[in-house]
Amino acid sequence: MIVGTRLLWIGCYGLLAIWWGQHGREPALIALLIGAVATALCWTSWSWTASLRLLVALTGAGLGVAAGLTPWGMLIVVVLALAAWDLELFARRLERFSESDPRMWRQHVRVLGWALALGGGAGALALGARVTFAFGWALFLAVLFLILFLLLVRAPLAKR
Amino acid sequence: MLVGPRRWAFLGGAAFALVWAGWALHRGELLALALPLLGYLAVGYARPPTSVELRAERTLSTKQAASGESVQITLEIHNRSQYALEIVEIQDSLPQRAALVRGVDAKIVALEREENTLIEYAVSARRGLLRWSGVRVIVSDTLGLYRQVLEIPCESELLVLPAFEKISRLWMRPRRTRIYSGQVKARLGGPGLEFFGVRDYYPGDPQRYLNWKATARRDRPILNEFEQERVVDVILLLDARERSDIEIFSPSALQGEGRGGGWESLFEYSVEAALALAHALSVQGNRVGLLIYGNFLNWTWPGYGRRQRERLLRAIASAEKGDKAVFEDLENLPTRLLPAGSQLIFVSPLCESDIKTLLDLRLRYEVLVISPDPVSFEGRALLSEKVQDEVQLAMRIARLRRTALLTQLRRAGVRVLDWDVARPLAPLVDKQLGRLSQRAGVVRGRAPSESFL
Repeated sequence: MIVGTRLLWIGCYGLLAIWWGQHGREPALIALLIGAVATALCWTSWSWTASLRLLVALTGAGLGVAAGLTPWGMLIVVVLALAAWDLELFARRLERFSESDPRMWRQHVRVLGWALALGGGAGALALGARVTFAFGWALFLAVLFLILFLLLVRAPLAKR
Repeated sequence: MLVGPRRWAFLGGAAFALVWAGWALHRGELLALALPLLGYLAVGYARPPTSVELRAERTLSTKQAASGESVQITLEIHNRSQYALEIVEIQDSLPQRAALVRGVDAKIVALEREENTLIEYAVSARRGLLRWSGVRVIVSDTLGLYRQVLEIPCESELLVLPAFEKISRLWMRPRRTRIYSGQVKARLGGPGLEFFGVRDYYPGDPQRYLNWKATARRDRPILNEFEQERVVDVILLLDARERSDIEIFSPSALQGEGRGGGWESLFEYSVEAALALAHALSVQGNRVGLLIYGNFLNWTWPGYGRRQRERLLRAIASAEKGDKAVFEDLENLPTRLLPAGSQLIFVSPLCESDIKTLLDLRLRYEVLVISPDPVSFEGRALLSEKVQDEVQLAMRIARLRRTALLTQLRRAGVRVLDWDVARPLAPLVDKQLGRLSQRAGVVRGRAPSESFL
């Protein structure tokens, strides 16, 4: 599974470098260099580097969108990075134990699949759908999003 | 590991940053990039944690083991929650003195409702009372967004007794004896085995003890009298002060706690001596108490019998060294606890500052000191080094100081057994503190305490 997550990271940063390559040679080289360093960090025992890699991938994707790269490609990068980050942390968590229950892997991959399908699907819908609505609706949706977002993030934190 | 609230905060923060950047840059696509992260959180949010109810039961293959013996531990965790638990990290609380011999004491599993899981491992220890307090369990969802840490109470105890020598007989002569018959001479005439003296015959005395020769000589009936043998109060004082201990690095040391890992402690020998004495004295029927002086005043009230023996062995086996300033000297020894006129046995390598207290104790008690010799103990480790001349000179000086120290005690009537720990204790006790040594001292016309000066 560790090998699988490394391949996911390589794929994620490879795609990022390819799409940045459309913007010029230098950005592609920078993306390749960062990708190489980030991928090399996969072989270290520092689990915190996984989160750093995710942040770098998200930043790369965000800058790519701002620089006019294809948002579909950037969405794929984000989904791949999220999957790689989650699987790596899960694998590292199990690594500390001499044996692990295979049911846990199956369950995890299933739930992660649902999460990525939901998030990726929503992202794709957001990119693909063209809907026109009035400013009032836009304001309402923005407020609704803000409330849901706060509920989503703060409620579990408050429970701890 | 990013689990629980920190994972929420990390992903929520990253999603918020993307949303904020999208709004700031007027790029709706950036909002779309935040959606996979929010989808991840939403799936986690939709699967909230359930109330967790776990039960733990630990079984040990034995309650009491010998030093180095492997003891099998089986820990069973039972999920009594209403729902299945996706990830359960179980960590058993291995006691500090225990060494894992086989298996692992931790496991990660998924537990269905009413499902059990077993953790099996084996431990060994050099000595001590090993206590398992509880089981630490971390229950989380598979995405790691919720985390619940539980401490399931599940107490167990294992007493590991180090091997100790069997001392057959220890000659004692305390000032007071108790009324029950035992094996210590009471300085009183009466029923016994050894001749004590003669006295006039009184009606009712058994005629079989008439001394016919004395009767014929004195022209009145004379009766042989024997010395009564009774049990005595014995208080074992185990010196557990850090300052009186010596630790040396020994390549041949046994693996394990205390002597293990190449480090050998003189205190472990004191413990073995105390165990041997406690066992021998209580088997003889004496009323034995114990005071471990070092970390705190670990006092075991004097008592008789098998239960008392178990109590003593348990207390000695779990003795720990301490470096409390209040116990640095023997001055704070609580003499009020010690029964008047009892036999005190002080097991200690001895420090020079102890002499005054021991001499004071000698005024009120019969004192015996069993002293593991720190000079020869440390000398063996040092002599293997290259600077032999300096070491030998230092050892000579240390030896002279120790001899002077012991002589001072012996002159005051304190019996001292200087024990080179490389040699077994039991033959030494038989030779120097047994009945024969007493007789030899009497024949030579010396006090027993002087016979091994």
